[in-house]
Amino acid sequence: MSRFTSDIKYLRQYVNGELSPAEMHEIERAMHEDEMLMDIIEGLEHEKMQGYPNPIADLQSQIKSRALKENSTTLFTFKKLAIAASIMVVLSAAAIYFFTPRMDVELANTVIKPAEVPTEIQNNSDVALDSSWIAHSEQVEQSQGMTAATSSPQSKTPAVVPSKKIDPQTLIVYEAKPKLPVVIEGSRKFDLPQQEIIHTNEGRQSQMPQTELLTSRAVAARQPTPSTTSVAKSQADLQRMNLDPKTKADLMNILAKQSQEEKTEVTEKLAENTISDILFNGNSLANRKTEESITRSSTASENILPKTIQNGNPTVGWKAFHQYISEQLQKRGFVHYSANISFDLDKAMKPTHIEIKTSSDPNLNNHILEILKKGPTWENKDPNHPIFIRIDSADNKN
Amino acid sequence: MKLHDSSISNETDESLLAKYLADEDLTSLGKLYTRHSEMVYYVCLRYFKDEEKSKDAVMQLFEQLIAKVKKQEIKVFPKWLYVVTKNYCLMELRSSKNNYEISTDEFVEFPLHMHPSETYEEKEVRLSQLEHCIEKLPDKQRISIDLFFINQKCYKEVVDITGYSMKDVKSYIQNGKRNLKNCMEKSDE
Repeated sequence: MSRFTSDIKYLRQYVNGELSPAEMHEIERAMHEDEMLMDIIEGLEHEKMQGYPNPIADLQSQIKSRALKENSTTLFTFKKLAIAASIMVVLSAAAIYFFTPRMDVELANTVIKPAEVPTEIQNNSDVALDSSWIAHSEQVEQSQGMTAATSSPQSKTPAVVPSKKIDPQTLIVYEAKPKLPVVIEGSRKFDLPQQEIIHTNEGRQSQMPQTELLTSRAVAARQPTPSTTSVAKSQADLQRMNLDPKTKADLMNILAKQSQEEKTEVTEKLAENTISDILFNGNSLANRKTEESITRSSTASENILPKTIQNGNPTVGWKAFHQYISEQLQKRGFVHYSANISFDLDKAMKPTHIEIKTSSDPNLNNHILEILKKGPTWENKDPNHPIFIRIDSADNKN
Repeated sequence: MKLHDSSISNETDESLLAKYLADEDLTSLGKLYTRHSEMVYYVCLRYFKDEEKSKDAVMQLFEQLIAKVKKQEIKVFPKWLYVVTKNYCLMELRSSKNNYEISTDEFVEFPLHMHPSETYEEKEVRLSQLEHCIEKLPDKQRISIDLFFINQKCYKEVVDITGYSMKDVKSYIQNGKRNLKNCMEKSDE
């Protein structure tokens, strides 16, 4: 490349004949060795011949503005934008995760200490099973995994109690909200015949507490409350309890408020629907658990309430029903058995749409279907939902 | 004689190019291209013979450069830019409706060794061959070649001495040079 090529001004002087012969010759010799120089000079000569104005100043300003424009638009290149977008997505996901209210756990926020509430209140099946309430005593033998927060029926303020060793005698009230899953953690033991156990880890108390997810979906009212009848019963029970006057008064007030609210809308049926739905869904979810879990929860060696889960009753009574089941299955060679079953009732109040949710032996299923169809008639507490029962050879022994 | 317009930038071509490649800062490329934009314009004007088309070509080439610079290894930017510019012009002319005929020989490739090293004896041999070839040239070409290359006269002086027109002088010198080259190649064979 000739040294002249980048000095257009000098070349213009050559084209204009302003240089000496020697200087011109020097350029012309360079032209013969440098095609680029020749092209530039020919361009300059064309410009001179045509009388074009020098456009360089205009061109250079265009280039400058173009460069600045490009810079302003490329402050964030695609690569940088992609990185920024990725970061935003991650941050958004994190924000959603951390700041969205936890909908899976809705714990009530009243802790009634045993000194204030004697065990009689727990034994009141109406209170325990009324509406969407599940009340039971917790015998906490583990130091971890227990989250407890309780609330009065009127107060919806959620509270989270940090994990700590809870007084074994602490009564914890769990409130199930409609459409919200309820997580029950920690060990639990039922001693009451009318209470329903969903899951237990009694057999592995030294291990981490199990978590069970229930979904309550049927309650129409957002804040379930005891029915009028159950409130009245509870009030009567409270009177019989050996409580200090202040606690008794507080509890009576609470129950009275509930009673007033419930007079207009809440019926006993609704409350039963609620609990039956919780039970139904709870068992449905339980069915999705591993086979190990199902088997374990149905073994008699564990301290599970060996009571059938149901929202319907055989007209012959449970004892006769279990006897019938046991005899029929033994005839078919099944001594030990357990199964969770749901079914509807036909017009004759006989089981129909029988569904074996779980069973200890798949061979049992057809036999159970046959036995139930031929079995006693039923009465259903909740015609809107299927009856859910559990049969277990251990039940019959008891 | 200055090589660059100092008003544009004091940075070297290499540093501006490196800066652009490192930061993708178009300002650097803009400075570099601005420095050589006159060259680009006049090369375009030489081929297009059209002022507006040449101006457009200058801006179009800048757009192409934004990407091309990153893809190619550039040793001497002005030379590389000239090659890009000339090829752009030839491609444009080829694709134009004027059906401008362009030989593929006109497309420029980067030169490798323009002047391979020769020994003194080799040079002597070649000069003897050159003198022999010059004698074989037509008179007008031989006279023009002799005045321009041997007597170091500029075109204007050759015109004044010979009375040929400037265009003829350039043509005689160009053609004479080509004939000499052919003659030398035959001599080598």
